[in-house]
Amino acid sequence: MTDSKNSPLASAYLRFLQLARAVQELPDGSGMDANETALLEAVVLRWHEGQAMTVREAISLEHLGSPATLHKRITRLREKEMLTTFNQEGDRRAKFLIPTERTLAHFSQLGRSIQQVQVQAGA
Amino acid sequence: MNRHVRPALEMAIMVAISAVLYVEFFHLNNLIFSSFEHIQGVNWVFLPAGFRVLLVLGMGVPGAAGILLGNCWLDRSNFSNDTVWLLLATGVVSGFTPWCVKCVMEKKHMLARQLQKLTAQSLLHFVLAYAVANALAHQFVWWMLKRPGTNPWVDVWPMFVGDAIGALVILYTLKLMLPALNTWAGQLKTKPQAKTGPAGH
Repeated sequence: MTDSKNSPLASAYLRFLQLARAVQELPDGSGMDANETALLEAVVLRWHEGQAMTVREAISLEHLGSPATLHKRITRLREKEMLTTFNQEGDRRAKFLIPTERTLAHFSQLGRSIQQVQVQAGA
Repeated sequence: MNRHVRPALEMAIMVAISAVLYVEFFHLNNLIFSSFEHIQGVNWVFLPAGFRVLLVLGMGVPGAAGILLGNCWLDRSNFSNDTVWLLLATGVVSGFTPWCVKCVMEKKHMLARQLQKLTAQSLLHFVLAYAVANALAHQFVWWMLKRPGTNPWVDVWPMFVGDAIGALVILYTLKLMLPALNTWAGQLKTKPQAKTGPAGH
């Protein structure tokens, strides 16, 4: 500890680590806004309950917006690779929305953050 | 080693690293973006601006001193009795403006001294404040010391844009490279362990 405080190179290295962390957090356009997050959560919750939501059901979630707005939001989430669609065999009409690997990684990251906060609060 | 000599040696190393990085990226910028030059010393895309941000935030005064030396090295062919003060002042402004911005932001509690809890947002605030301060300071010094062909009210804009874009290009390039750098660093760390097999092979 004392060594790193006395050594200019060591403290520069630590500052570069802080810089690298901030650089990693720079916005890159793949982040979601609050409306997209709310829609994604609704879709993932239904998928988690074992009944994937159809696109038709998703655009009917009135409390989240109008069908046109929700349709655009779904398109954006698909472009950000947070949602993907699949058709059930024998029924090509109903398009189901399911989370991608990226979405699952995003939720596990949130889970880990909550766990970390709990550990820090307990310490 | 003497406890005063070692920190001094480390600082000298940092000054040298800072100067070399600044000079090399100045040449790289001339190679890639020479067509974006507005006038000599003012470019619409200026990559070394990104290194000013990284070097001054990371190294502090040695980083700023390295930029000053790098600037003097780049201008060495223009040194004469008439230009010495202009070139020295340009070097000082180039290296120490970001350092002054850092100090002001630290005083206003917008940055921590050791960059603890530095966020992407505060880093972007620093880039913006630095780009404004650097463009204004350069133009002011050049106007005060009567640099030939200087038109502060016009040149300040390309300089501000060039510094901001250059800094963002370097930061986003670093963002793209960080995962690869981490993987590479991880491989370097695990390599010696692989060699610790049974002796006598």
